[in-house]
Amino acid sequence: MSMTGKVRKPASGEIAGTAENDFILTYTVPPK
Amino acid sequence: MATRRLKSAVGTHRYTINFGVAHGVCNRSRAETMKLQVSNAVMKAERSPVGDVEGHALIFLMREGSMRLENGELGSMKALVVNKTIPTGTLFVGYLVLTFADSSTIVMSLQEGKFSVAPEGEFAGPQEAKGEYLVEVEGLKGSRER
Repeated sequence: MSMTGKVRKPASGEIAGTAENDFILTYTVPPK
Repeated sequence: MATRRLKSAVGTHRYTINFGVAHGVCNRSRAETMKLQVSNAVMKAERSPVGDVEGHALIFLMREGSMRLENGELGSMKALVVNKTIPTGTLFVGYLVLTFADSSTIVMSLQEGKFSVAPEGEFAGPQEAKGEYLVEVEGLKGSRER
């Protein structure tokens, strides 16, 4: 799994801001 | 290994997540990828300064949000993350739980996460991480399989 994303600057009084992330999950598909 | 069903453009399939210990079990398996986008907000946060230099702190964050798979399926996500912040950025580790529309879940660890502070602009900065599947059980939560 890999993840990239961006985090918005926190609003006043917040510790961390909202985030938008893209994930790529890699997995194997068994034979039918 | 554990499995879950995912609906794709060509029908419903049962995918097997490779936990790393199953390499070579079936040499006819094929690798595929699934892309998804997540929007999330901080639901709980606690910041504790280390006390040595300004800006050095540990932060526990619980993030929750929604996810959208590339096939249009919707779901939710929850992340438990510990951040180590320094003035120029953040390193983080944690766990990520993806819950799909059929209530199946994928639990992953987040490793070697990095967050760089952008000097200007709307965003505080980009982040990136890699992870490893911990448990992925169809219709069940709370079990663990490796």
